[in-house]
Amino acid sequence: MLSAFMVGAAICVLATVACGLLRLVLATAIADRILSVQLLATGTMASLLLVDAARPTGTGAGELAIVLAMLAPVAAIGFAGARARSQGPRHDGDGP
Amino acid sequence: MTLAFDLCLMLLLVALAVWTVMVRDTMSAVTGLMGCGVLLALAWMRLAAPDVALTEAAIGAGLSGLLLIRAAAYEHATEVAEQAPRGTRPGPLATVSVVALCVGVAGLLVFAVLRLPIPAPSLAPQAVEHLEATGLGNAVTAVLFSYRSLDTLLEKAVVVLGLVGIWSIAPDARWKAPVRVAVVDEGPMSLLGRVLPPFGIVLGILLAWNGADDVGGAFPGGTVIAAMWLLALTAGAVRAPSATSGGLRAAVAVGPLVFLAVGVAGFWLADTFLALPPGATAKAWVIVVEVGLTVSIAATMTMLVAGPPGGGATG
Amino acid sequence: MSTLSSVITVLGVLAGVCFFVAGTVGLLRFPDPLSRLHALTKADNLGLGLIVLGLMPQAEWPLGPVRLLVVWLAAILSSAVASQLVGGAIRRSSGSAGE
Repeated sequence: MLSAFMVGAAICVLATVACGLLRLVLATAIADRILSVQLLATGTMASLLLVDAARPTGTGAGELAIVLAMLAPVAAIGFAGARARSQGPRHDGDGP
Repeated sequence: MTLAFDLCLMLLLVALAVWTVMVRDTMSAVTGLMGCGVLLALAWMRLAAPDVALTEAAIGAGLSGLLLIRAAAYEHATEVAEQAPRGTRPGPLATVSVVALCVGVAGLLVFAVLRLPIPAPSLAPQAVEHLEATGLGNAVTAVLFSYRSLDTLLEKAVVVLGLVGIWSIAPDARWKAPVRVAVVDEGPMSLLGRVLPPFGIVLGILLAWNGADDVGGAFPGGTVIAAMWLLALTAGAVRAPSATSGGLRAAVAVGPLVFLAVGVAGFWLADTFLALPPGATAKAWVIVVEVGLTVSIAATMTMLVAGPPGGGATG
Repeated sequence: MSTLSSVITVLGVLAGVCFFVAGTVGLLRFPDPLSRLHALTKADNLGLGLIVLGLMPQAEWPLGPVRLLVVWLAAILSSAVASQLVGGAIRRSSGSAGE
């Protein structure tokens, strides 16, 4: 009973972030796309934990969720790094 | 109910993949790909393959995303200029033939998949049956280090060769310069680059250590450590090493070398190259190799993403 | 006890799902990138946090709840930093390009 509820909630979360991906498609700025992928990552973590809790024995879902949580900001960091390089003071001696 | 979840996941994955292929802008495609990586990790988890899921999360959603974002940002400047003018766009004949080719390949793939026997051929029962003799608890690790260790050894050598390839495109004048990672000089990044790595490194070591008996392994573990090193580099918290540094080179080489040494020791320990004595001693050797590989993978992955010394041509 | 833990789970997970829905609606409907960022953080912090809170009573004592808590703490830290970085980038680009 409770496990069916959890899987149902996981479906809700996944469907919700799927709707959030509309922003990925409609966006005009890269920042919006990064936000939308960020939401997707969080939603994936939540549904992963929900589906795993619905099973009697689960292995590895916690570790996977932690890895996802720790690496989730990588997109934003790469984006900010690219910005820092293109808008910040120019490095001299850039290759041909 | 779980079936409904899996169906949702599949639809979402396919839709996102199609969008990633269709979108014109490189940077947007990279964000789509990172989303696909996250969903793929969940999909592997649903297929009860947590080891693959961990690696996919660390590589697909993490490191390769960072690598591709940097590449896309570099490409972005040239990309806009190279938008083809109207006259040079492919004509209808070229478009139709490309579409026909794609549909043909996809059709053949569908045909091949549908022709697979049910149940699909599998070596999993045999792999699990002899798990006792390997002294390991994780069948994936047993396949990697006991059944197919030559493949694993060559795989790691290929990763090191990839790094050699990247380093070789550095101009001579900048060969001794440290590798360059764009430092994000902002407060929050400085915090993250100092707070998260200690925990992340512990997690990476835990994953590598767990690999023998439980979910994890040298590859996801090493990759998580690499991601933490990159975070610290991006925050400017640690100094970027130079490709000529002996310590860095030792770290890159130690994994394959230890693997090779244990492989050669197999002539005396067991009866042939890469053979391991059965039982608990085998596990000890596998752990020795895994420790070396974790160090190597962490160093190599970091340097692969960081790029050639001095920024190379991509500065 | 078991009933109580089930009630906590149902309430926590439902509230978490509500925040996910709210965050997504905000991401889709808010007019400018900075307010969309604001909406996203609700899903990141509260949505995931409440779901984790709801799942805690069901997790295997003692390490299960700790693991869930660690997931949430890692997610909060990373999402806070990611939001700051994206927010800063949005602000700079809107200052220079007038988006």
